[in-house]
Amino acid sequence: MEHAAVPGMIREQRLNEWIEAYSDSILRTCFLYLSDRGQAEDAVQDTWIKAWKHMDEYEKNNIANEKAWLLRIAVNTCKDYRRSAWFRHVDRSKALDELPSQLAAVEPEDRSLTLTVMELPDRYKQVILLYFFQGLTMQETADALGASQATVSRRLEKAKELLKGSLTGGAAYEG
Amino acid sequence: MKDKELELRIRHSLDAELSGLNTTSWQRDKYFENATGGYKVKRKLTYGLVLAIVLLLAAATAVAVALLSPKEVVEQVAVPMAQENDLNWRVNTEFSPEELAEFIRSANEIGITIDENDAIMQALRNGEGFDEEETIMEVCRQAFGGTYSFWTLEQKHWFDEMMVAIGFVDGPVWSMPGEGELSEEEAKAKLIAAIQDEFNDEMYQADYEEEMNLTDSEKFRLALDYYPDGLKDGTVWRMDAWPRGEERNDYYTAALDKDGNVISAIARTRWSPNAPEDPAPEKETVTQADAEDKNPGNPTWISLSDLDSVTADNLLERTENIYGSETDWSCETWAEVAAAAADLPAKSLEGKIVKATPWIAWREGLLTLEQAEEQAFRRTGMRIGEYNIACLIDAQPNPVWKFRLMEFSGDYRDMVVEIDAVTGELMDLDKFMTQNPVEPYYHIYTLHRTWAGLELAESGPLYLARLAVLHTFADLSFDLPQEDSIPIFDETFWQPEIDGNTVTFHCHWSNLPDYRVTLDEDGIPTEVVELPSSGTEVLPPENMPGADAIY
Repeated sequence: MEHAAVPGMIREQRLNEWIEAYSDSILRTCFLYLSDRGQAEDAVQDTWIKAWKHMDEYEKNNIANEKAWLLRIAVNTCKDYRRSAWFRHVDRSKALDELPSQLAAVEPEDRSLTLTVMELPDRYKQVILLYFFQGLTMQETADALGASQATVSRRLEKAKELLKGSLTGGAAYEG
Repeated sequence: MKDKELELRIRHSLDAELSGLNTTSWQRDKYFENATGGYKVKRKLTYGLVLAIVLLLAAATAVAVALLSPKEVVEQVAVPMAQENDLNWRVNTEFSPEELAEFIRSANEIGITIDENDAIMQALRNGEGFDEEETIMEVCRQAFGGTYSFWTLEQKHWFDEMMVAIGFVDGPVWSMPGEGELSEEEAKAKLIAAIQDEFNDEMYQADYEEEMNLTDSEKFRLALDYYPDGLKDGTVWRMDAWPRGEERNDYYTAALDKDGNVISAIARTRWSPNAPEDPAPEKETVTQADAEDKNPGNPTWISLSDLDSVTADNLLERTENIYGSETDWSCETWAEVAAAAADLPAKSLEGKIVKATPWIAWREGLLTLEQAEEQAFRRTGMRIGEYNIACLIDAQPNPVWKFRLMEFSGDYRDMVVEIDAVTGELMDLDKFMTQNPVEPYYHIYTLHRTWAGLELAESGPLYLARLAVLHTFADLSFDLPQEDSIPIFDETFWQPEIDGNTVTFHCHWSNLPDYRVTLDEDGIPTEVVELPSSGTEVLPPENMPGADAIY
């Protein structure tokens, strides 16, 4: 593949910077998506390979937010992983137990909420991860998912509704 | 729970749970090598070195703060940095590592410390920046000795001004009572009386074996707010009364208009077993040792949505904050929402729907609520149930009563119906599964034609066509753990082909049908049909959809 628009050294430097800046963040997103650390680490590797291959596209399209672009690649990579038959047998609650020790204090409610997020249907989990967890804007989330802002907004509302319901044990949350 | 609170809670939980999940330097090197086929140059700076540089910079640029109050540290150290780091065209929302170190060091100098396990301190140790608002909030929490909800009006108003100063909100929204207005103490007394009058009844006393006494600070914590009403001119006083004690999950809210008239008194259920903690009443000191913070898992109990300016997008939420759940609103309240929304901007689809829905108050010549309810149940064949929401909407040729009906006998049924408010005729029936995650939440309070028309204009026909398939045929749930529960939304199952307002769903599997949906110009389905499958592969029987009818 030719990369005439982006000289090799600049591309390498850019990828190097991205890997340093975003690997952790992408790893966590992939883990929440895939519920398996090993698979998440593989997905991160695949994300960087794809990012490298498509660096031209990044340049050509004048992409303003590199993080959103990379997360889009990561989410799509995870989607591919999710289609495998292997994925049906993942136990999400065990996946959390296999994580390295947390650096921050984890309350039981944190565990419960994290599991709830991991168990959301994909389309809601995606918006929660990108918009809430990764802090993308509505437009960036929409771009990352290849969806319209209206769709993201709708999914976000529903995801919040589901999470609020879960936090209140399914009861009405405004009493 | 407000959206911002939920957002913060999610972010906090995920950050805490995943805080140990990081890539190693070796892994990152491998990522680079495998992606490029080459070796990368090692990083030149370690985090330790970065931190040392940060602290050095901080010391060099430090402001002498020893004699400042906590508010002055925010005003003279944090706010100027937050203002200066903004670009010309955009508000930067994070302190740089250097700015963060400077602010924390200044806070430390006057005795304010932040827990070492807090994300802010982790960021500092890692040589990273951190969110400006959260950092200022945390320092203030330590200084004021409790969570935001229980700060004084003056403290909240001041914090609001700081957020305006750094560009986080457009203008101060929290109000302070002026000359001739109800004083804070007067409002508090009236709100306490309103709650106690409503809820200090025999049932309460039987439940808790004591009278409700909101003035007893060992029993209740009171959060007082004063802010503009979203519906009417003027301001609203609101009090949330939180019973102390882990075992209690009830709390009480009352609102007054600016003249001191009671607008609402509502019993609510808290969403978290950890209610926000306020400082013990007698404490006014500023150090961390003195600051009571019994709720580390829920550090930011902030009603930030109330800080947003009123728009059609947040009007329902703001109204709910004052008038209680929308399921309890009267037609008059809905009519006030419509009147208020007319002049407000709307960005979101929800906001546009609020602006486009002419809710009206009841008038002579229309079916009463009870008459319309009876018609709604009779015409849907539902017997034992209740309505969850009811509102009256102006429409042609006649206004329409909109209900969400729920039946509790036999198969649980849940329907949204539109009843002609003059003839009692059933105009629209929107049957759905309560737990169906694809249902638009706003369809319960606006006309089908209104939300569908706006959806169509905003997003095209695909979403509406998918809903039509679901409503007409089944939930199409597949026995595939973790897959989307509704595969009609998954293009690996049904590939949509859009032609104007007609969508044909081509199935990947030969043993499932294709579907075709045609919508009218308002997004209402005029045709929803099954077609022979265009699929070529056979879906294994164990993965076939349950194909249960909606009801």
